Amino acid sequence: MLRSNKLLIALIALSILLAACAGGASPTAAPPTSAGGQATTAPAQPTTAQPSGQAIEITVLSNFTPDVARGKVLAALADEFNKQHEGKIKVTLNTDPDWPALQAKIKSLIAAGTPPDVFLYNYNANDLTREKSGKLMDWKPYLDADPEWKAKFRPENLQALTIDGQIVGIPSDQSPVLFYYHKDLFDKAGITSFPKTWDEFWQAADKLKASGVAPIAMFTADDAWHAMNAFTAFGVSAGGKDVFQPGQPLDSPAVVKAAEELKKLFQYTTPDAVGANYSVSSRNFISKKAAMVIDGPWLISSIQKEVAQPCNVAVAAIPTYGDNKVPAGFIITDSMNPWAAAKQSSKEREQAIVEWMKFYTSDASAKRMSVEGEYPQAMKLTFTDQDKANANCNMAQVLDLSSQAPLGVVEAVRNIKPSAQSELPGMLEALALGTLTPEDFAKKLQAAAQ
Amino acid sequence: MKQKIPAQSESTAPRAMLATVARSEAAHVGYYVRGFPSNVLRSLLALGRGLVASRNLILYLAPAALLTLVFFVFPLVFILYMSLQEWAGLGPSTFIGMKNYEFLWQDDVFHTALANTLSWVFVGIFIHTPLCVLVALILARQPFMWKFFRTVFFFPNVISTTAIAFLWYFVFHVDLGLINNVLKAVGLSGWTRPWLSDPQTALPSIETPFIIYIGFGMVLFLTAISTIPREYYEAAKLDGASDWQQDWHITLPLIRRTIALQCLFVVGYCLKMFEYPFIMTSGGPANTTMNLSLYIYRKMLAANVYGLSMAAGVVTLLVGLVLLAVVFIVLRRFEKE
Repeated sequence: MLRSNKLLIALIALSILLAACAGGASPTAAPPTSAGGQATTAPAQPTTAQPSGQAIEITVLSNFTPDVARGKVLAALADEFNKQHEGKIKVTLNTDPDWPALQAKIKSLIAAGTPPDVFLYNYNANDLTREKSGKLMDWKPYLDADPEWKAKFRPENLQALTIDGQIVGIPSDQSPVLFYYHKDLFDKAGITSFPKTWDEFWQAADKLKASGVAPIAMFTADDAWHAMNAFTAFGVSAGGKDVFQPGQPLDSPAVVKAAEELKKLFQYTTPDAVGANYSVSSRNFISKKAAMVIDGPWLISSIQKEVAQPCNVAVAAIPTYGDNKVPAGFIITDSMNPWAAAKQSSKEREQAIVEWMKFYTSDASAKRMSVEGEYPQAMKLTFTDQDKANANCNMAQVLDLSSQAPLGVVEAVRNIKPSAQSELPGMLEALALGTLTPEDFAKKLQAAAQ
Repeated sequence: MKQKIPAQSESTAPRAMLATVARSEAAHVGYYVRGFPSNVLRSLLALGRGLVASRNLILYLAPAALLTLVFFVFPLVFILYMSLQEWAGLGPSTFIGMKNYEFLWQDDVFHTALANTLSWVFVGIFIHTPLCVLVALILARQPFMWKFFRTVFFFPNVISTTAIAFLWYFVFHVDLGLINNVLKAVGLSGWTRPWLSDPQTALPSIETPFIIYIGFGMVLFLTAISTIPREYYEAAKLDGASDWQQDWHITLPLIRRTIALQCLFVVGYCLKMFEYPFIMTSGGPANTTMNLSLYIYRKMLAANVYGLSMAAGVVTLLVGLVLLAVVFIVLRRFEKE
């Protein structure tokens, strides 16, 4: 009786321990969906060799959800690829629509030693932790073995992704950041064309405010994308193309000027801008509570779906101060977003990933993603008139402006350290509320970036 | 003279001791509150003697001890170690000594976060808890529809805090919010304001749902009040005591340990508070609603300064221990009186 009691106690103790440990141990929280589906978690796929005879499964993690144009194109490309490689390679898509959350998740997965097979991330010259983690696949041997493929990418982009002689990513996109504005609201306010100079811009903003609409949509939470686009536009206009380059001081007179203009711009935005996030701000633009927004082409899907007459939304380049510090018609760009892959332990899986990436970056796929997917690729592409004719009215303007732009400058926030990025919401709000002067804003930005 | 422990059989000693402990626990609601350190120490010592004689007890305790070791002690040691490091979450870390703590000492945002967290604790103990007591005292008298109100008051506690935070975000929203729209509808447009983006109103706004959702505390106090013998109230009534006097002189003294327990819950809840500042204001405007949990989150996942966030976690732990000690000291004072 005593012995059976002890055995029972030991069994109960063991089962409790196993139950407690099993609860959160699995990294594969949810199964991935097939191409065209949507999942909100990113399971870490094992990077081990597949048994021979079985299709090699590759998981691709991005924020290309199937409800937006680029998600639909990615799903279609994955389906096409899977059909061509049936039985040999299968691409499975995983998505997370929240870009900052996706980036945090990717860093956590890399830190845990289980990076996704293929994933999209935002390159930042001041934060090379992912590139230097030692957990990413080297694409160099494959690029060197296929000079035609290598020639599709700009050398400076490949150089940026070269760490200790290894090329750890393939450039994906570098989206232009432009003014999107409602022509009908401009007409109602008596503005006949989009301002080319900042003086004209402020006059137009006053007219829009008088007509009862907030001139511009902005927000301050998370990466404060819309507000920082404006900040970059002012700074580059005042100080030239190198003002926000890595290594440049962030308390220069041009940056102070940008802070002054941004503080003034907060008086021309919606009342909920302070503390709002991207979805609130873009919603304000889509619903015509604000007449303008500075954003990337991913906004076009929402414009096409939700604005009653989407072709009434026009696109414009960034104004200047008219002093030739920067050429007229210049644009801001997002950082280059590369595709990276986890280091594979099997050559077969490496080759499968390369096969997928070559298919994705082929001229046909890249043009399709740029035009139909509304997501310009960071590749050397030549668009024919037929290509442009396939684009919707908004995307056609974006392609035109991008191809004609004499200069593209990377948005400021993408070039500063994560520690400085995390300080931005508080600093922008303090600037908007008047508790921080533009000079102190620039000094704090410089201090945070150190 | 040291008392000799009478010899008992191997199988009965631990059972008898466990039975004694179980009876003590059942008899006193505030067993773990009154004389917390010395009573538990005596129990642990007695347990230790029993442990030597009993392998069965070791088997019973082993899973809990192992889980505590693995999921509490080791992470705590790891956090203490990492708080002395500089680490970006990827790659190796660098030992930097107390530099993270020096940064916290100088960081205005951390000071604001600490002050706001203490504000949450203050609101929890001096506004939320008395409200729970008041509602419990009223419902304990079982007025008309008291069961309905008990259910209604408790209902928000079964809804996720995230959903409630979103709900209140739209209550306080400057354009779409219920409050501003009601004020406009009744002709008080001048009273409308950007509740969540005005530094003066942002913190009280996000504390509002915490203050008014009194369900958990109310149920805790109702349970405690229900254990008070009715004879006390009958005797007081015979002596001519009013309802208020009965509550003040009988009910409140007899539920003081439950009040202390509720204060402990409030301290723990406020130190972990995350959803309301994160969803309603993102810690703004201009960091005026930042608290310790959000600060740790921001430093770890946005700024990628893991060592600093862990140092902030260590400070949060110390603040929590100090607050718990204060609650016990105050309770002991009341007990002596």
